[in-house]
Amino acid sequence: MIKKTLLVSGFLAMIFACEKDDNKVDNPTDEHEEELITSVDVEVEHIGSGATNTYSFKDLDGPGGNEPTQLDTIYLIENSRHAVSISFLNESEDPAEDITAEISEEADEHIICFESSNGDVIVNRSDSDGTYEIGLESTWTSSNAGSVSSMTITLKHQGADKDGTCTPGETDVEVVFPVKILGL
Amino acid sequence: MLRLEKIFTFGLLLISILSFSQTCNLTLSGSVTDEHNNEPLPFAFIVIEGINKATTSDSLGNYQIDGLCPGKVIIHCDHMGCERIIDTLYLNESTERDFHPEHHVNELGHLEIHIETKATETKQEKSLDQITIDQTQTQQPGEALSNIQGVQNQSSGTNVSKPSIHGMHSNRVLILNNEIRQEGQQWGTDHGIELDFTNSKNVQVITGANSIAYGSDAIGGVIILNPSPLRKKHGIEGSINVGGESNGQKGVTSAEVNGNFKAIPELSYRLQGSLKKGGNVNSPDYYIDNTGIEEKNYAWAVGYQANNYGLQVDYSDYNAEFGIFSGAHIGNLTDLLNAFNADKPNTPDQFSYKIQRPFQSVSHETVKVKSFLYFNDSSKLELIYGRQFNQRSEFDTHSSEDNEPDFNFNLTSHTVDLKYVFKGKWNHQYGLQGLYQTNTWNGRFFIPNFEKYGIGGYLIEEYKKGRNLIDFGLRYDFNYLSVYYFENEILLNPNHNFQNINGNIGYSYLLSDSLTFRTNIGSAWRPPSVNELYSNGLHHGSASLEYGDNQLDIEQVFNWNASLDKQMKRFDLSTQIYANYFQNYIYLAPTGETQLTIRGAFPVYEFRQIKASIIGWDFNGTYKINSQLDFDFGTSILRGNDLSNNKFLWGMPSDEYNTTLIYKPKFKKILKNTTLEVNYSYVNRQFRFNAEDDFVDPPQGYSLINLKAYTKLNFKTPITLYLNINNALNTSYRNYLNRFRYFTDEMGRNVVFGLKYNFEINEQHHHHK
Repeated sequence: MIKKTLLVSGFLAMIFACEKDDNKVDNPTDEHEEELITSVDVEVEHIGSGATNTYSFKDLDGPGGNEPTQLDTIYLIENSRHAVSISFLNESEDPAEDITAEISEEADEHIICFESSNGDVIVNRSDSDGTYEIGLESTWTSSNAGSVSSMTITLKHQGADKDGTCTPGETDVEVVFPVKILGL
Repeated sequence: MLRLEKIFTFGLLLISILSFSQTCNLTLSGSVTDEHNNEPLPFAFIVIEGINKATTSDSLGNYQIDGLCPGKVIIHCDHMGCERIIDTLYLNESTERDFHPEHHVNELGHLEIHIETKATETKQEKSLDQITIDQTQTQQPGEALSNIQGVQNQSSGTNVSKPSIHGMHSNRVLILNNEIRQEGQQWGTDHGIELDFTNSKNVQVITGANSIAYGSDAIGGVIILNPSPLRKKHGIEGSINVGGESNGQKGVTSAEVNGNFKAIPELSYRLQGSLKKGGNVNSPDYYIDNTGIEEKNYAWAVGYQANNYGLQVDYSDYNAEFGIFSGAHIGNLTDLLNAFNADKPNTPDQFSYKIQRPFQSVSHETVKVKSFLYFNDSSKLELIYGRQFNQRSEFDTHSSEDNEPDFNFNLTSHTVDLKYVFKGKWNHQYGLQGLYQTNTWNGRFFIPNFEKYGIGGYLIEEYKKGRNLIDFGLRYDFNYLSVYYFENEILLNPNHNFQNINGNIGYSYLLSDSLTFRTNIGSAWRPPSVNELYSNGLHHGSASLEYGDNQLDIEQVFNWNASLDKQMKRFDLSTQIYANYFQNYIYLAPTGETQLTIRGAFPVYEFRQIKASIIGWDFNGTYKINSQLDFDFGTSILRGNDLSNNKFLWGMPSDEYNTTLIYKPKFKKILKNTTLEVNYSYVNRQFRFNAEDDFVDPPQGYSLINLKAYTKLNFKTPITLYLNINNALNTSYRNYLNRFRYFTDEMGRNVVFGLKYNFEINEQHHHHK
């Protein structure tokens, strides 16, 4: 009888030792997304005159939900070089989180790629992770005025597969900025 | 490949012409005696499955069945108050087989409706035979279940798989694991069925209507998985399984012990556990990166069974961690199209056991408490309580916090199932079922927290007269869903009520001893699931924005099916036709719009309801070429249509054909039970698609050749050995039902082998035969 009781209580103990959900169903957690990027800022400095402008893409609630709130046209000056720095922000949080710093820290896992729709703007990355370029800093060389084109800026997370090209990895950001080249 | 098929068919034709004719004059005979005291058991039913040959044992417990053809036979021995014994024999000559069921007066552990009328049941029921169960120990459940005609493997890569019945899966298929309805995050194809398949010793599939007793929502059908029953006589028995796969260098081992106490004969127990570890699998041309898997599972059960009542507690714990092919984890549509257009994935081409990001970690814990009470020989009451806890964590490619999942879900489900069964001229079954469920999440939002209550009641009546059997069932369910989520920092709490009735009428008729006709007409329904109502946002990995619709109504299906099973001298066939009509089929429809995000433009999908139909045909035939050689042919063909928009229904399986040549050599002694098989299957391309519904068109059709060798070494304690070579020709192909078809080829050649050792330790001084 003692054996029986022991057995039964042993098994009951095991059942009540079940895993359980510690969250409260009627009190949902706030969304917490890792490395959410809401904004891309493109700071363009005309080499020579030093004139600086910042152009932005903003989708403050992330993918889905509301439409992006801002997509600027980037203006360049004809037949000249521009120093460009790109920064990525999470502006859904207050204060805004600067993701650029994280990308710099993990520079050997990231690359920024540029593609001009008609080749009117030639981009050379001017920074390096020690082995390969990163693209947070770059030089943009424009051609003649008048052309209307676009520049696709892509941030790729490539992990250990980074090889200096844009092929490996997963796309974190892909924004197509309209570009207009102005005469002097 | 078509040419190969022709040669194959021609070769088989030639063999069959050359082979000599066979006669069906074999006899199966034996005796049925009580396991405990060796007393003869009269009135035991001996049924040969499929062919309606049956008899009862006489007053001395003896039985005889004449006129059997050579080949494989599956025999059931049923006796009131005993556990059914099922055995598979290969008849080459007249054979004797004795049965020793364990008999207790009133102990009707397995009294179910239509025990002895198996041959005339109205359900469209198919099962996995023991040989196939033995051979699929190393596989994922969806893969193993696809051995049943009409069931396909719906997958997302190699590690996530679930069964699809007649083109219906996820929320449309009810999985009953050890009598508890499996509750996980089963809504998407990117979640598999989270259970330990090595513990499933009995596997059945009910296709179509006639699943009233299990739930209202078995729209495509029910998958019934059961572990081995508890041992009832003193002693210990068990089995040890060891298996491996060359592709992925996977190893699987499982062990089970079943015992019964001598001091307390009412008390039995079972312990079972399994371990699985696999690394990157390879397609014919490259390794598929990060496809490793690890599983640690265990289960136990304890039962106390007196003469007319009993109590049983079951516990199981499933723990899996598996990689998601890194090339399938994409950031946006450009990545998807680049991956699709690449000759080979841009991922490391090497073997590794290491599971890296992205990966998933899932645990599923189930507790079952079952009690039953027999009032007399013909009626019983059963109460089952189940508690499940499903925890799913998903880890994306990169994250700043290394060990934290990007999101997780915690689903807790309580189910109660009360059932009364009466067996007489009319068989009755009445039942009540309840469900309480909560879901919570952390991390990235995909579906909200919710609370769900469900209650259902049903009755099933069955009447048998002569060669006719008619049954009907009626069921009512009520569901309450309460959802919690923040919108603009305000907590919202919308509620939904869903209720409906469903029913079924089935009829079966024994046209002759070798011909059975079955037909069913019925309905089933399900409430829209939480993702269909509330998903909102980017579905990572499928490059789409998905929006739920909280105005969705229930999905209801009307189903009709009919089947014929015929056994002739040299030819057995089983054929089924079915038609499903949905008034409000819920599916993820492309809106044709794209939405701009920081990751580029994504196509927008919305859950919508349409009128739809799925009609189809399953066929399975076996031609006995001679006493050693069988030729098996099977096909599944179905057509799905979106009747509202007059186009094809998205994601339906394409036509498939399967042929197998089975050779049972007349080896002597220990190799007596040996089977060799060559299997050729052809899966056609899915031509029925709407280009606008998908990113890329369906992949090409493909043919595969599989080789199988199986033997049960005829020792005192039998040892089962098998060796299969799947995809023997190392063919490169992509499967339309694999969501990763955009990114990678399927697995290449895979040599699968395994061993099963059964043991039994009896109390020495007990009854001898």
